[in-house]
Amino acid sequence: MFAYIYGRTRDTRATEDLASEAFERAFAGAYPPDEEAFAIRLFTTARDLLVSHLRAQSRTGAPQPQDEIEEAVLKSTDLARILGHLRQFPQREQDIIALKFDAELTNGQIAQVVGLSEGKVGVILYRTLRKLRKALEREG
Amino acid sequence: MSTKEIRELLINEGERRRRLGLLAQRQVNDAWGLNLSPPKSSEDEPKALEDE
Repeated sequence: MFAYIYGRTRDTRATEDLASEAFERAFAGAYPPDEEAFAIRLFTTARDLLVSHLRAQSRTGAPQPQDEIEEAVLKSTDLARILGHLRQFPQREQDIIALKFDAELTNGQIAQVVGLSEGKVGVILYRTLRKLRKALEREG
Repeated sequence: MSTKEIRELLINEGERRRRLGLLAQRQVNDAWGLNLSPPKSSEDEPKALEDE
């Protein structure tokens, strides 16, 4: 969950705050039937908080924070180009990519978190990766 | 760059972010008094205090 939040915010402090809030809210609900159900609740809560956080950030027009280490690591790499394109994609696509690669959720788990069918999640993942490839090709 | 290569780079980046997230996770776990890792064996489980 921390990697998922960090991947979307790229801000260590915001990650700690949002993760704490997500834990607080997730624990406030009824006791989950099993570990997986709790994980889904935690990710769903974290995602709701992230959406609000990112919306507030875009409303205020504040520049998106980026940790210095992150900046240095990503400088002039293929990964930087990929992430640069990804950040221009719709929030839903960014979210599903982060849940897949940062949080290592299965398509079925992602489906529960974002409220889509498992098949739809698979299609979005496939199309987003293809879209990234095409964007890189256009860039040359 | 192929879709497979893009996928591999995203997987590696995910691993890096998970490592970075560990510290934040530890801080939040400490704040909540949590130990989310399950005991590895019955020997690791807390033993009941014996009556004195």
